[in-house]
This record gives sequence, C-alpha cells and structure tokens, in this order.
Amino acid sequence: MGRPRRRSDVNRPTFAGVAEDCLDEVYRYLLMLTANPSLADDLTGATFEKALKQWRRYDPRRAAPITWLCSIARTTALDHFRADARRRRREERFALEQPEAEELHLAGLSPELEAAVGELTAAEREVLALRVVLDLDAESAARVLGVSRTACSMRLARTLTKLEERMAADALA
Amino acid sequence: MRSPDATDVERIEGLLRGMPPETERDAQLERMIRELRTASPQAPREVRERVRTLREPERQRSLGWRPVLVVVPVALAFAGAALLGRGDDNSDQGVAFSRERAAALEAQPAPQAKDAEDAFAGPLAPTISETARAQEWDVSLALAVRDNRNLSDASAEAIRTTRSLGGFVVSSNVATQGRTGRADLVLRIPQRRVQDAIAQFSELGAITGQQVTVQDRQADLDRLAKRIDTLRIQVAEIDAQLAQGGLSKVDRLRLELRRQRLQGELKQLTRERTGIANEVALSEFSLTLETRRAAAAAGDSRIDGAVGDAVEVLSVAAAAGLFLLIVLAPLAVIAALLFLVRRSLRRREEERLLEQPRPTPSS
Repeated sequence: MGRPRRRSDVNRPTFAGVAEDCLDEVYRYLLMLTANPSLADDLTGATFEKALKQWRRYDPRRAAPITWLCSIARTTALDHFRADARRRRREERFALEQPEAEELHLAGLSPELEAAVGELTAAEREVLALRVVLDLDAESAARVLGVSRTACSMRLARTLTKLEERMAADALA
Repeated sequence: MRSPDATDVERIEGLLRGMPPETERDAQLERMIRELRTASPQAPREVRERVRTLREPERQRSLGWRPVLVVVPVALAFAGAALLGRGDDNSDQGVAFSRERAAALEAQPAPQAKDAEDAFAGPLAPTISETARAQEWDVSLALAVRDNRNLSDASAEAIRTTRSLGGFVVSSNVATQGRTGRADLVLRIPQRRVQDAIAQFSELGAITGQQVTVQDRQADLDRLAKRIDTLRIQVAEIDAQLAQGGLSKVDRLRLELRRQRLQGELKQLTRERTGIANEVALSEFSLTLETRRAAAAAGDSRIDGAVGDAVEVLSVAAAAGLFLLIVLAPLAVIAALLFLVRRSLRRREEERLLEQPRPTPSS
C-alpha cells in the first residue's frame, strides 16, 4: 500500500475491506432477488469481479459501499435474467422443458414465511431484501432500484401487505 | 390483495425504524420484519474464497489531467508572446546598432535582384550597389527620442545632416502635443551617401522601425538608351536623305514630318531617362521621429491589436460554434430522444424480468 495520492484517498476504504464487510449482505440481496442459492453464489462472485474492475470509479462521497455494490449486483442479476430469458425462448422453440427451480432456502425463516416469500416476484423480493434484510434506508434502496423514494416505499408496503396476507391465508388453511 | 395507503407506508417505515407496534397487525408485520432480519444466511465458503482472491490492482501512475495545468499556460504564454512580439521591436538596439550595421552594409555584396523590396524590422539593409547598375532607393526610418526637446534637436540635426550629405529636405512636419511629439521629414539624399545617412540618422534616437525599398532601374535605362540610339540613327538617316537633292515636295514633306515625330519621341524618352537618372541619383528618405511616450502609445496600440486579434479569433470560434450548434442541435435532440426511449424500454424490460413468477420447485 503506497502513500495516498489524493485527498479523497485518505478516507477511501480498500477493496478487500469493502468486500469482506459487504460480502454477506450482497449475497443475501442476490439470494432474495434470485431465490436461487447456486445462482446467488455465481452472481455474488461475478458482482465482486465487476466491482473490482470499477473500483477506481467508486466515490465514497456519493454512496455507501453496500449501495454501490447492490447496484452492481442488480445489473449483474438483470444481465443474467436477460440471458436466461433468451435461453428459455430458444428452449421453448425446441420444446424443451423449463429447468426446475431450486428450493428457496433462507436460514432462520419459518416454513410459512419462507413459502410466502417464495411466492413473491423478484421485484418484490428485491425491495424486501434491500429495505428489510439489508436495512438500507429508503433513499439508498431507491437509488439501487432506479426509482423514486416514494415508489420504493410504496413497493415495500405492497410487498409486506402481500406477504402478510399470504401468511394469514396459510394460517387459516 | 388490499392496496396499501399512505398510512400503511408511514406505519411500515416506522416499524422499520424500530417503532413499537400499535395494533395486532403491526405486531404481525414487526415479527415478519424481525424474522427476515434475523435470517442472515452467510455467503458460502467457495464464494468467500473466490472474492478473497480478487486483488485490488496497483494504481498505475498516470499524469491524468495535471499536465494540462502546465501545457495550457505555456501554450498561452507562447501565443501571447507571438502576438505581442509581432511587428518590429528594435528599440533595445538603439544607437549602437547603427554604426555596426553601416559597416556590415558596406561589407555585403550588392543586391542582384531586378526589383527588390525589402520591408523588415531587423538590423539589416541592402547595401548600395558598388556596380554601375542604377537602383532607386526608398528608405523609411522611425526613431524614438526621449522628449520634445530631443525631438526638436534631432529634427534640426537631421536637416543639417541631409544638407551636409548633399541632399535636400522635401518636406518637414514637426508637431508636439503636451509631452509627446512627432516629426515627419521627407529627405532626398544622394544615392552614394545613403549608407552614411542611415548611420548618422540612426544616432538621433532608438530605431523603432525601418523599411528599405530598392528598385533596379537599369533595365529601364538600358531600354530607353537603346530606343534613343535607334531614334537618333533614324533622325540622322532622314537628315541625310533631306540633304540629298532630287526629292519631290511630297517626299520631302513626308520625311520632315517623320523627322518631327521622331524628334518628339526622342525628346520624351530623353526626359524620361533624365527623370529616372534623377530618381536613381537621389534616394528618398522618410524619417519619422517620435517621443518615447508616443512610441509607447504605439506599443499600446500593439496590445490593442493583440486584443483585437483575440476578439476576432473568439468571434470566429463563436460563429463556428453557433454553426455547429445549429447543425448538431437536431441530431442532439434525436440522440437524447433515442436515449430516453432506450432507457424507458430497458426499464420496462427490467420490470418485466423482475415481475416474472418464480418457477415452482419440484416436490
């Protein structure tokens, strides 16, 4: 490690430190978003590889490391979803069966909550991951999602209401 | 599904911030939130190892934008110096230059060009031809003197020098205003004394500008001499014919008329040759004497000129910029629209991707 060359370098964290601190959070976010543990593994690695390439452009004054990493993770996941959608279209053309999803496994969740979370869409799980699991504030989460703060809060409220109703329905059943 | 309202949003935000639940429904939500937060799966060891292998690259030492801080001022300084230094500036050479130059002038070979016009600011002037060629010289010399008193003395000295060199003053105009003054002298100096004149006038003040124009008139004189010779021969022939007898009245009259025309032409060409010879014999000398203050004002006008040039360059750049703006503005608008449309489509696609239901796991 050399002497910091810029004034901003003084307070700039190292990539290794940021990776160590945020790895689990990024993994949780991707796990919730994809609902697929093995895919979340791959995307987590890919996210940090991409982050390393972009590390010099990261400005700590503009966003917290976790916000920046979640934005990269989201782009990585969306790229994967796009590629996956194309692959599925090709497979449908050749009448192949869709691959079955893996079990959603979130350690520590009750089976009811896990099942209810599994019924949510990726967009709903994403806002849940950012606001509840990672405990990001509304502004940071909105920045990651690319929507307004109000839209982010509304999406979270809708998701939690939906989750609550599913849980209630399961309890009644 | 019940759509959440603003109260629900506020309530949920409050619960996320850790506010205690007020209703049973809030308590349910709070439990869910707590459960989701406590469920904290760790990244698998393989992923952790993979991320740990990523090393932050050594920052390459690049100069970045810093050289601009050096290069731009230096370039501007050069440009400014070029603008300000344009034109003449011999004032620092002053009087000392004149004698050296006069000696150098004598040592140089004669100019051979037929027509040579040499406008220059440096300490150089063509030498007076030592050959027999006829050359017409026009010399302009601008000098700066200290003050009006020196201006007056220098003007008088210039006139005295002109007379001592065998020349004369064609015109003289000395004007002073306040502490500045200017004298314009038009002098005729015998061509053979031009070098002496330059040397002596240069001692009157610091040279601020000079121009020497040399025009070779030998070809004109040769042409005239040849024509004059031809005319004389023709006149002599006519005289011989007239001296012989046996000419009819008509023939005699025809010869006399022709002789008259030839004589007229001969006279005109002789006059022309005399004029050229006079021009060649006496060089025209334009001597301008200015006080330093006036010369400095001229220097200021040079700065004004530089500023004017800069304004002109900027106006051209502005016109070019405006032209580009007019041409590129529609393209920029189209590009912006395309960007917005693309972003909108991309967002819509992302939403569609994220709204897709999760595939049902096989049991």
